[in-house]
Amino acid sequence: MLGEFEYLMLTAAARLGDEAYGAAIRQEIEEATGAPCSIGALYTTLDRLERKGLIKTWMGDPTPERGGRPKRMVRVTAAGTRAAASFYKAVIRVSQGVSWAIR
Amino acid sequence: MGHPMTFGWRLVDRVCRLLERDDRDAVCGDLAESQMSAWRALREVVGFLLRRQAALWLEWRPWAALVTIAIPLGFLLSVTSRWFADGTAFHLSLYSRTGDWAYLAIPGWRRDFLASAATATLMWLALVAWSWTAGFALGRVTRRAWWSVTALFALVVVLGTLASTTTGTREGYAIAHFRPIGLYLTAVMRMLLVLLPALYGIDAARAVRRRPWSTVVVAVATVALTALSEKALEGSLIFGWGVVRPQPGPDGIVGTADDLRPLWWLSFVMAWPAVFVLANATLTRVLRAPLPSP
Repeated sequence: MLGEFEYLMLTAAARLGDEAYGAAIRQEIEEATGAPCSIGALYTTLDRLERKGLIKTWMGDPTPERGGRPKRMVRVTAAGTRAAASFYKAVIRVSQGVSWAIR
Repeated sequence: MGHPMTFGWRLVDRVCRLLERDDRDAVCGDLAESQMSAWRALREVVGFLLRRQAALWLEWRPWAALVTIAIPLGFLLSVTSRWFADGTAFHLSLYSRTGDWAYLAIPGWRRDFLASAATATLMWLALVAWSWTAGFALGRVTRRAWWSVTALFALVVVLGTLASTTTGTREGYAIAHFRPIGLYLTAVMRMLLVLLPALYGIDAARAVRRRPWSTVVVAVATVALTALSEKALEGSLIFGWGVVRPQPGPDGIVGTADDLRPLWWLSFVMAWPAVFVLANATLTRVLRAPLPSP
């Protein structure tokens, strides 16, 4: 079972598709939650997800707007998609009937 | 970085250098893209760095380096550097207050002066050698956790004598004359002769060298210097002997009333990183040797 932050990261990476990398994922999460997402939490969670086989990361090409530094690109694996879908279904099921659930 | 290089961003850049290459590129690139202030960026990088180091402490390597090198050698180097600094301060004070260059013409005075200078130089060299080999062993054992273990090592070196109230006293000479110099000299010696060589040792351990001969030379020199300064090393712990070699008593045994002998193991503790360096160099050579053809 995923943690909620892991789910947020998988979802943000999946939404971004080919443009998924550290800073973009971080921005997605901050916009969605309205809470700051630290770089430490972001990259240590990315490492953990990669160890679990839920994402694949690699270093992209350097870009001038990043001071010539490459991005750490992220792609959600098939196992990651299954884990995120399972988490989402569990949240939907457990939320049925509660006052804050969207009908 | 894509930001103007203010003091804050310079600091961020320095801290980023402590990260591994891929992490450094990913994190510093993200910061360059962001609109955050330098101080928030600094907080973010330091937080990330601490998380990374904390994760490395789940392995055995940092613990092994802490228990076998950072704490024992850090403490011994702390005590020894203070004792050697006191000894140097004593002689500096003695010669500056009572000496005169004209005395060099007197054979006895000249011999004593040169002996003191030679002994002090030997002690300083020994400190440098012990620190370099300790740093090398730290760098090799800890690998990626090198800087958090090094920070703890530096802490032990600086604070190792904090709770100790015993300082060197020299018979027949007022302590007030040399003690203030000794305090400053202790700090200077710890910086220049202990921490700086240790950092060079760590740097050498992290660099991939094809020919480990220079490290072997330093290791052999360290063992020789340890043997030569054995008595002063022991003396630094029992505050009984200074840089002057003690004389044996009627029973032929060198010692004082507060002698904690046997202290011969101190030399082994100090020299073990040198042995590690030698073993490491030998292993590197063996592993790089081409396999015999079948």
